[in-house]
This record gives sequence, C-alpha cells and structure tokens, in this order.
Amino acid sequence: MKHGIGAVLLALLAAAGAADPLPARAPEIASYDIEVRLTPGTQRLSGRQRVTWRNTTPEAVGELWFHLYLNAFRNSQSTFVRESGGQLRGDRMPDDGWGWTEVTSIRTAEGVDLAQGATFEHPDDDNAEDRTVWRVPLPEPVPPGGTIELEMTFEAQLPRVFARTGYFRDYFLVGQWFPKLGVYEPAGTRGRASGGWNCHQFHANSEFYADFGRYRVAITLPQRFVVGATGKRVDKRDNPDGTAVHVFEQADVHDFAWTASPRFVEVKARFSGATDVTAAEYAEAAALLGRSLEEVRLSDVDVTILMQPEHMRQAERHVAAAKAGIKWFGLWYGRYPYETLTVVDPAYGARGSGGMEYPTFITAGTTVLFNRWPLDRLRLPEEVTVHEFGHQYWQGMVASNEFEESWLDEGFNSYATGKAMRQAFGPWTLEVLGLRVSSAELPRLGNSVERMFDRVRTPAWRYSSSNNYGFNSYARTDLTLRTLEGLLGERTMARVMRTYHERFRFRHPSSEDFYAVVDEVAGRDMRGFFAQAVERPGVLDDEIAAITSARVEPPRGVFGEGPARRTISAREAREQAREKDAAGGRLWRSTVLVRRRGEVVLPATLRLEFEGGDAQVMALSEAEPPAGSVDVERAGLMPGGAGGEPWQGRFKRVEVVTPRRLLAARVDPEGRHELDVNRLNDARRVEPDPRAATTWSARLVFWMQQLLALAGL
Amino acid sequence: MWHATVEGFRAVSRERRLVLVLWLFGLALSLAAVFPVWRALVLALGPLPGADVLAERFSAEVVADLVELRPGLLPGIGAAAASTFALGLLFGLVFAGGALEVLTASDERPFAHRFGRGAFRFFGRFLRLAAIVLPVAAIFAALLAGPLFALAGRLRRESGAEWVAHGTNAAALVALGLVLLVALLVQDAARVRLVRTDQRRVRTALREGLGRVWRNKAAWFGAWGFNALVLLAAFAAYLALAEALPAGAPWVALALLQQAFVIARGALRVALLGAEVALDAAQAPAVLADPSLTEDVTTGLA
Ligand SMILES: [Zn+2]
Repeated sequence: MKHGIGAVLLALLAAAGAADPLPARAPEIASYDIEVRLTPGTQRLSGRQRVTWRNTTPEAVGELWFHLYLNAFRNSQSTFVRESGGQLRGDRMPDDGWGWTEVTSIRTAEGVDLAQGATFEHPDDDNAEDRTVWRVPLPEPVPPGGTIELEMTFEAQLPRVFARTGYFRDYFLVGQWFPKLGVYEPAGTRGRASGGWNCHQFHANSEFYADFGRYRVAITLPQRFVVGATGKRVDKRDNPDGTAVHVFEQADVHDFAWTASPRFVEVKARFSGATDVTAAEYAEAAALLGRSLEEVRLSDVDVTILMQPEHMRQAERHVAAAKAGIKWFGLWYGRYPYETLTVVDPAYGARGSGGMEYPTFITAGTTVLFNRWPLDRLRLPEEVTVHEFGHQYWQGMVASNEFEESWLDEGFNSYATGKAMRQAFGPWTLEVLGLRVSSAELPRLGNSVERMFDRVRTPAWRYSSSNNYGFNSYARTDLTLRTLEGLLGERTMARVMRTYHERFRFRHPSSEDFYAVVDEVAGRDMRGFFAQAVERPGVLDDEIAAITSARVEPPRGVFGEGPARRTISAREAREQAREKDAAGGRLWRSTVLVRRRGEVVLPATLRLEFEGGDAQVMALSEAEPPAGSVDVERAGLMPGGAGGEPWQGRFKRVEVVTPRRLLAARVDPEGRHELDVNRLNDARRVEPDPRAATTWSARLVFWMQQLLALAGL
Repeated sequence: MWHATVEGFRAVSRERRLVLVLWLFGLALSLAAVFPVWRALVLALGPLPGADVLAERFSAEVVADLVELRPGLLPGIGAAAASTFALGLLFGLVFAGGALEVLTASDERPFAHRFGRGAFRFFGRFLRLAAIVLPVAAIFAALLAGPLFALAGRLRRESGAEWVAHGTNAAALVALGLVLLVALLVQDAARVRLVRTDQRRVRTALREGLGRVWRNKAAWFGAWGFNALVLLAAFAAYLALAEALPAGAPWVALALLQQAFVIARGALRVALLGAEVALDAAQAPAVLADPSLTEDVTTGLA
C-alpha cells in the first residue's frame, strides 16, 4: 500500500515535472574553474584555469579549438582591427591601448603537454596575422560521452576600453578574457554536413557562441575595488598583502564576465515574484499563452546595480528597468532561472564597454545629462538595460549563434525589448521639449532602402558595413517579427515566442528551428514569409499610386440601328445628368491604382472609404473580385486562404461604381505591414487636405521670424 | 542703467510704429520664404491621410517617410531658411538705420520720412561696420572657445570626470555667447555713434562705441541683461499659453499667439535700441557730436 502511494506520488511528480516545459538545467559541456589576479597599473591578468569538456556528440573529437579574443586588440593586423578600422559603435580605438593574451601552459589532467602542435587558425578569412582562434590537437580523441580535463595558465594584457572589454583608469570591464572553447557541432547541427568546431575569429560586427557549463571564478585584486560578476558571490576574503579574493559561481551559463572599480556605488534591490507581479498580470499572461498559472509564476532575483556616483540620481531608473525586464521577459518567455542579475553603469570614458550582455551580468550606459530636465525623459538608460537584460533570453539561454545568425538574438531581442518597454514605460522612448518618439517608431526611422536591405540571415562579419549589420540584425528584424505578429495575431505570436523559448532554452537553435516552431504553433506554412523577409533581401513597399472618383457620365453619341438609330448630344447628356442628379444623384466611378514598389509580396487588403462613412475592404489577390461587387468581405489573409494567392503583380487597377463618392483608399489598413519601408504612401485621398501642411507652415513662419531676429531684424 | 532702460520703454511707447515696421518686415520676409514651402507641403502631404497626424503633433516616423517620398523637401526648407537669414542680415541693417534715426532725430518730419532717411543714409556704413565686427568677433570666438572645446574633447577621452568635461563644453559655449554679446553691444554702440554724429569714418565710430561700452560696462550689459530677462519671461509666457491651448485648437490660435510673441520681441528690440541711445546720450553730451571733439575724447581708449 505504502509502496503504491509512493508510486502514485512519483507519477504525480513526474507529471508535474512534465507539465512545466521549461528545462530546469543546461547540459554541462564546457565548465571552467578559474583563478585570476588583476594587477591595476599594469592592467595585467594572470590566470590559471581548469577546463572540463564533455563530448555530448556522437563523434570522437581529436582536437580542441579555443577563442583567444583579447588578441583581437593585439595589433593593427588583427581581423577585428582591420574590419573595424579602429572604430566601433561610435567609439574610436585609443592609440597604444593594445591588448593581448597568451596561453603559457596547457596540459591534460594527466600532465600531457598540449602546447606543442597548437596552431592559430583563421577559419573566416585568410588573415595569418589573426591570433583569436587557437587549435589544440589532442594525443587521443575524446570519445562520445567522454570527458577531458585541462590545466591551463595564461597571461593577458587588457586593452584600453574601446570595444566592450578592457580598462579605463581604475575601471575594469573584463569580458572575453579567458581562453574559451568554441562549440563542437556534430554533423547535422544547424545544417552542418560534417562535424567540426564552430569557433569563429573575433570580428568587428559579430559576437559570441559557446556551450553551457558551470563556472567558478576566484578574482584577486586590491581590496579597494568594488567587484561585480556573472553569478553568485560565494566567498570574499581579504589577504594580508592588501588584496582581496572574490569568488563567484554560476551553473547553466556559457560565459563569464566581471567588473571592478573603486568608484562603483552598489545599489541592491530584489525582484519578487510575489509582489512585483500582480495576480491579474499572472492571469493575463497565462491566458495569453495558454499556460497554467504555475507555469508563468516567476521566482525572486537579487539585483545589483553598480552605478557611477555621478549617475546616482538614475539608480532607481536602472532598478526599475532591470525589474521590468525580469518581469515581462519572464512572464512572456519563461521565468528567469538565475538568482542574481548585475547591471553595470560604465565609467565615463569607457562607453565602449556599455550596452553589452553576459550571463546574469549586463552593462548599461548613461550620462549625467540624463539626470535632470530637459533630458531626463530620454529613456535610453531604461532601453539599454531592458535590451541587455533581454539577451539573457535571446543569446544567454536560447543560445543561438551570434556569429552566423545574429538576427536570432539581436533582432528577437529588439522586438522583445520594444514590447517590454511599451508595457513598462508607455509608448514614448524619447521625450524632449515636447518632441516625442515612440519605441515602435524608432526602428522604422532607419527603415529605408538607403540602409541597404540585405539578407537578414547573413553571417555578421559578412555584412558590407556595421550600419548594414545593425540595421538588418536589429531594426529590420524587429519590424519583421512585428509584421509576423500582424499576420498571425498577438496571441499566436506570443505562443510562438513562448514555445520557441521553452523548447530551445539552454540549446543552440538555428533559423530553421524557429521557422518550424512558427509553422507548428500557427498551424500553417509560413515559410513563404521567411523566405522573403529573412532569407532574401527584398523590400516591402506597397503604395496607392493614384486615386480618382467622378460621377458616371450619361452615355453620348450614336445608339441603335436603322430607324431606331438616334444620337444623344452632349447637351442632352448634360440634361439627363442634371435630371438624374435631381432625382437622387448619379453613381460614382472610382479608380485606385495600387503599386508595388518593392519585391516582397505579403497578403494585403485594400480598403476603400466612401462619403458617409461606408467602407469596403477587399483582398489583393490574384483572383479578381466578383464583377460589380461593392461588398467584397475581407478574404483570407494567407496564401491559400479564401482570398486565393496574394496578388503578385506590380500595378493593380481597381475600379468600382458606387452610389457614394470615394474619399480615400488604403493598402494594409490594419497596419500589419510594419516592414513596409514607407507607410505614408499606403493611403491616398481624392481631395487633398491642407491642414497638416498649413499647421507646419504656420510654425515655420514663426521659426523664420525667430531666425530673422537672430540675424538682427 | 535703469534710467536708460526706462528711456528705452518710453521710446517704444513714443514710436510704436517702429515695432509695427519691424514686425511687418519680419512677417513679410517669413511669409515670402514659407509660401513656396507651404505649396510644396500641400502637394506632398495633402493627398496622404497618413500625414494628418502632423496637424496634431510631430511624428518622426511620418517625417522619415516623407523625406523618403520627397527627398527635395528638407533641403528646400533649409535653403528657404538660409536665404531668409541672409535677407535678415541685410534688412537688419536697413531697420537699424531707420530705427536709430527715428529715435534720435529731433525734426518734425513724418515717421516714414525719418525712417527712410536713416535706413538709406546709414546702410552702407552699417554694412562696413558689420564687415569689421563679425570677422573680429569670429577670431576672438575661435581663440577663446576653440581651446576650450579641444580641452573638453580631451577630457572626455582621457579623464573620468564627466561633469568637468561637460562643464568645459558649457564654458566654451558661454565663451562663444559672451564674444557674440560683446560684439553685438559694441556694434550697437558704434551704430548709435554713427547716427548721432553722422560721421563717415566707421572705424572711429567703432572705437568710440567700444569706449562707451568699456567705460560703462555695467550699464550696457545691465540694460541688455534686463531686456533679455524680459524676453525670456515673454517666451516662457508664450510657451505656457501655447501649452494651454486645447488639443483641438485651430492652427490660427497658435499662429496668433506666436505673432503676439513676435511683436513683444520686436518691442523689446526697439526698447533696447532706445536704452542704448539713452546710454550714449548720458555718456556723450550733445556738444560732443562734433566729430573732431569725439576723436579727442576717445583717443585715450583706442
Ligand atoms: Zn543586443
């Protein structure tokens, strides 16, 4: 009996476990136990690390590939410096601020020296000078399921902060700092034909990709430094020599970064799943996602903000933004599973280290100018905090390959950040002196052909410029996902994103994995959409090119034959028209010319608006609407839907004869096509309305008068 | 300074037509510049319902799309603004000559006669004056603000002190403003000298003007400062009223409010000229209007 109850309980527990589709733990593949000493003044790191790599693939692996990222800053010949031209994200590389790293020893746990035979590789270009990828042949392959342990020592010189990592005076942001394994991908992974290490060089426009594991890092540095890092602080002890050791641990992550500065002011806060989210918000999220309340329940998180003292007025803003991220990303995509989150406010002069994501550790960025009116409503500190936090989901946990498919993290995260910002802080991201720009508008500002539409799915370093990389990976993907949401509906889209996150948390999905989830959750084939919006560089731009509406003229000329032949003169026709008008009016013949200025074809509708408030909506499909019809219902929106194949041509002329005059016509009247590069031309009316022009001209007169006063008049 | 300021406001109430002329000049020039822009905007925005939001508020998204649809529009507005500014420089000289003549002349000729006389008589001299003052001011500004801007840039890159870097930038801007202010005050003083003495030699007038401002710095800067404060208050009042307009108010309401502010600004400009004339009179008794004597008075300063 007792036994029986136990079995039932076990079954219930198992069922409860299965009910929560969020995986609790990441596979432990690459784990690091590191001791590192920072010597301020020389900005040197000396490290010792024990690396444990587990072969979870079905292939025997005979070599290990490491990233030695700091060598990107070694000299002017590195691929990173060549590609960036010494300039990245608006920052210039300082003169003589070089950085490098050297592995001084590498042995197996059994003491076999592996340094002999190790070589620098350059898989992405033919730059023999690049030393950011290091290949270490093994004496014997690691069999499937096998594990290898290595003991390594390394020396590193931090660069002066310019791109993400380095020092500035006594501020240190230490990222990409230890010899780090790439990802061994067996054949079949993300479309690979044969197995091998995915270990790219450090490029100007690309970020990172690594396997999950457990990190334990002991950092030794002078006692005056305030230290923050990935994970949870498990120990801090002072040494007699004036240094202190800070020990951090974190499992289920794929990177480790840390920061140190005596100037940091530590602000502590706690996100509470019980009080920071209302019952109604839980219920709403559960209903939206079709999940149980338990599944959307959030856990508590210790939040640490390391602020620059001069930015303390903005400390609460950073806390609010971090909490907003934990809340909304958690509710929508799955609870934040870590116990800590550390947000770093970078030092002035080290802006290049801001706006960066590492597991449980992010860098934001602000300025004293945002402390007070009139710039305090520029919500850029919030935006960057929420965005970098969002990477815990899109890159941190759903660990897509940032080198090869940057849209899966930057683009997904831009989309999710925009949604969270609107939820938490309202529509306006920028408000200054009465001018307001919304978070929905921001990505649209760059959405033009000028920014060079490229294939969104382009390896990050192959984009023609960093502008091009930025536009296509961030803004355009945001708009692509918003367009997808328009096509699928908010609920389905929310479930798509949730399912994708749940299924690929702690894994390495590719674009195809996302496409498959969309098809599955939406219950229809959306490959045509992705083929156009992600895999090809096409532009979407539908416009109403012309519109007319005029009374139907009574017939004129010669009618009938033989004795019945008679001629209706122009005067008689006018007479007839007048009589008809007196009797209740003639019909109106209206024409609309729809023009497709881009190549992308999405299912679209056309809405005709008539005098008196009548409107008529029709699908722009290959099938012609029934002749003479004035009440075509909105037909199916998708290929194969009731509206038939979407219209494929370039120009489409629509003509209707109606009792009412046509006022205006709109393509995509519901505003689903966020990706459309110009939405202003989506609608056109017959009679121009000068109001907007006159309002702005009146303002312009005032500004011209001020200009004249400045000139001395 | 208070005496001069009061005199300035008296001058406004005495010569209200000056304010009217100033306003009409500005309005005519602005309307002429904006009319073609308005026509282009009506053509561009009129048929597009998406642009209607601009009648209510600014929309970055709509403007971005508009720029893409009509690439010539923004450069066109820029060109209109640039040419308006250039015309403003020229008409500013015309107005200053006319206004100072009206404020200083003692004859009983009609307003239009006095204004036209001053405008024509002093245009060339004021132009030559500006041709000296502006380059000199530019050189001073570059010498003073240039190193400060360079220092701010260096501080931004090299020091961790954010406030110091921003403060240095602000100091550079203040230096620029100060140079501009001194240049404008000295130019005004020289103009008053030219009109009162009717001398031909612009450089002499400039030296005298400089002397006037230098010797009575507190009064000249005080009069300007008070004038600027009142202007700021007027602008704040305008902003508050504009903010208080109901959302659906027609554009005419805002336009009327704006013109009220422009007229107030014109009145303050005339008041400043009046104050400057009074300051000059206080420093230089009428008898000194003889050029040979003025030369003597100012030699010590040159
Ligand atoms: Zn990002």
